[in-house]
This record gives sequence, C-alpha cells and structure tokens, in this order.
Amino acid sequence: MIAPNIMTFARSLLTVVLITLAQFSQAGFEFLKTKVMVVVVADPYVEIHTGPGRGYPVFHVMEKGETIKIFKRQTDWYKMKTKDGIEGWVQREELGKTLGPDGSEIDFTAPNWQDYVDRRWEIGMLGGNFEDADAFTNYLAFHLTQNIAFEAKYTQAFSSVGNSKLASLNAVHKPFPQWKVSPFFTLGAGQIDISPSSDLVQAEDRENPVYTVGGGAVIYITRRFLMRVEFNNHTLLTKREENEEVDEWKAGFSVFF
Amino acid sequence: MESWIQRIFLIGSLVGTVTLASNICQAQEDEGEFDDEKTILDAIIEPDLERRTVEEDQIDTENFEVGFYSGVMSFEDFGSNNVFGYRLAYHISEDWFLEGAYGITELGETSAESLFNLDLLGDEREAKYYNMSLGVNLFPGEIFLGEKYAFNTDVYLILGAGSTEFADDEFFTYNFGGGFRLYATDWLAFRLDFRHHIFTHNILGNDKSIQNLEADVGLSLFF
Repeated sequence: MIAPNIMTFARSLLTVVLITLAQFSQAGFEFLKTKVMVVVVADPYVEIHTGPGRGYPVFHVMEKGETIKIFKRQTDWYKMKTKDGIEGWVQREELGKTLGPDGSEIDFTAPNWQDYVDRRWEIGMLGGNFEDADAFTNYLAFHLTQNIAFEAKYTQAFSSVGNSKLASLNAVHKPFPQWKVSPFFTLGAGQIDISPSSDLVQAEDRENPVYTVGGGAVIYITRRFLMRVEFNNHTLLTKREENEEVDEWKAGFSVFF
Repeated sequence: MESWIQRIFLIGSLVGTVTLASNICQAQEDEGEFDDEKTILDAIIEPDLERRTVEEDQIDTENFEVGFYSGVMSFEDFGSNNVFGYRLAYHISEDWFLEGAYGITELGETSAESLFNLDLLGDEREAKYYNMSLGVNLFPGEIFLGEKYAFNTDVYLILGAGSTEFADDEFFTYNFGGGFRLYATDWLAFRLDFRHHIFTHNILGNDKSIQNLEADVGLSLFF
C-alpha cells in the first residue's frame, strides 16, 4: 500500500519533471545549445581523456597547432572536439598556453585568490554551539561588492530540552576583503521557532522575531574552499517582560562559485 | 502625417529585420563547423600579434547535479520501508562535491505495537530527513557494455549532518555512506547510494542511539 504523502511526493516530482520538459521544448533546447570557443593548441602536445577526471584514460593526443572547439566545462575539465571529430576532455592546466584563432591569449586559470576576493555566490555549512545546544547552519551568500554581502541562513539547534529553528537574512560587511584572514560583521533579522521536548510538561511551541549582531572571520584555503568562524548574539523578542539573549559560536567551511 | 507614420513603421521593420538577421548569422556562426579562415594560423608557430586576453567564462559549465532517488530505508524498530528523496549537489572540483538531500520514508509498526496493539506514533507514520554532506569522488573508471559502448563511472564516499523529523520531534543526525555513479551521457547519471543515518531519540523513554541504513537508486542531471 502506498501512503498518500508518497503519492503527493510523486505528483510533485512529476510536476517538476513536466515543467522542466516544458521549458526545454519552449526554449527550443536553447539551453542545451552551448557556446563554442575555437582555440589553437600551443603546447607541444595535449592529452585527451575519456572523462572529466585525471583517472579516466588518455585515448588521444593533440599536437601543437591543432585547432579544437571547446564547448563545455565540468569543474576543471573542458570538453572539446578536434577537427577529425574526436571528442574528449582536457584538463584546464593543459590548455594554459592555447591561443585564440587570431593568436590572442586565452585565460584558462584555475580559481585563485582574485576569484576569491571577487566571489559572487557562496554556500556553506557550519556546526557549533547555540546556547548549550548542538547546532548546525546552512547558508547561501550573495556578494554585492567586495565589501558587502547578503546571506540567507537556516540554523537548527538540538538539545534534550527542545529544538529550535532559526531562519534569518543578514547583511554582511567585510572591511578588509584582501586579508588572508578577513574579518566580517553581520546584522540580521529573522524568526525563531522553539519547540520544547515533548516529555516536558509545558510543551508549547513558540515563534519569536530575532535580531542578530555578529562577527567572524573567513580564511581562504585553496581553490574554491573557505573556512569560516563566527559568533552571533541573537535577541529574541518574546511576549514576556524581558527579551531573551542567545549566544552562538560556529565554525565550518564554504565554497564559492 | 501619414508618410511620417509610414516612415516610422518602415524604419522599425528594417531595424527588426537587421537585428533578426544578425542574430541568425551569429547563431549559425556559433554552431558552425570550422571555417577555413580560422585555421590559417594552424601552420604558424607563434603569431606576432598584440595579445588580447579572452575570458573562458562564455563556455557552458555543468557543475550542478540535481536528481531524485527511491529505495529502501531500514528505520530501527520500525522496519524497512520505501524511501523517496531529492538531492542537489555542487561539484567543487573533480574530487569534491557538496550535496544536500531531502527524503521521506514510511514507518512500519514496532514489534511492541503489533504484539500489544499499541499505537506509538499516531498519524505520524513517516519520517523526513534532510542533510548537507561533503563527498569525495574516488576510483574513476569505465564500464564496458559489449564491444561498442563504454560508460564513465565513479565511486564516492560521503559524510554529513542534518536533521530527522520523526515522532513529532526533530533529531540531529549524522550520515555517512558511499555510492556509485554511472554516466549515461555527460549530463545524465544513474546513481546507486548506500547511506547510514545515526541519531539518538527518547520516544520510548530512555535515550537510544539508532542506526538507519538506506539503499537507493536514483537519476541525476548535470547542469
């Protein structure tokens, strides 16, 4: 027997698939069509792999002066086609010296310090302590400039006396984006949902608006990876006489793209 | 007056046609085969031209993976039942990926419930979980089907944390496991995934650490 919720799930899944298909057909597969880049091999030789990873076997080698079309990228690998119609994957470093058809240099550099400073999107996960409860946070950040970013955060805290969920939007200021260990300050607002453990007598869920002041530091590790440490002080606007204050310590990692 | 309107109309349609035509030309150029002009430099070793740096950003990237899966999840004390879920992953490099998943499983009856005709969970006969995990791709390889077909594959290990919603409460949950991807094309993969979820609950009175095993098959699209 199939439970009704699974039916609902299946139905929603079907809807997603149908919408996706509709978009595909509407755009005339526009989104599958890729922009092609024509380059000339300038290294003595370039190895072509069967897949986008160094473990996939090399099945062909191109010589200097050959013209290739590049039409797709997965992580650090480019999919290309030679004049003879051989398709395969080439690592970014191998294309370091390729030239455009007019002899222009093409920038195939790996994500580096500059990309980190100029990053646009960032996602990350943090774990730590939320007023004596174990907690973790997932967040998505959009960097407007090198100094200013916005973050959507979702935190869940678990303890024996109850669980809380906190969703918030934060503005972030990074005064020194160029520093190796770059500090940041945040101001945010959101809502917290507290549900005391069901074995407690007065088990009543409550929702409160929350204002947050916080700060921390971001450390660039390598490639697309960052490490992040932060502290937040949350003020819960309760219906009682006094507001509640909650301290939160977190550490985790993020990737940018 | 009338001629003005005619003129505006004419200019408008002319501009429209030109834009359309140039767009079509451009589109054809994009898909076009190698034209001879572009290969003139093939023979030249080092052209003496002023260098211009071109970004490679215009190339389509496929670093995101979206998919769904279904399988069996053995939920301690509550039997093995169907599980369904969605997942979204970002491939950071050829080795590392970050993946979020959301799944729903049905819950069966505990032996106490069936023996003594109890109902521990009421209407809450399902558990939902979500998690965020970091995966590492190992052992890239190929699978050969007959003489003609070869498919790329890889094996991954994954570790993460999240939450399980169960018995009207939520529990901090670790998960770890591994899996196998078989790429039908560059952008479509079949996945086989084994995952272990661990959390501690106290719905039966005392704290109990439970281990839930999950095995599923899924389909993923890269975009």
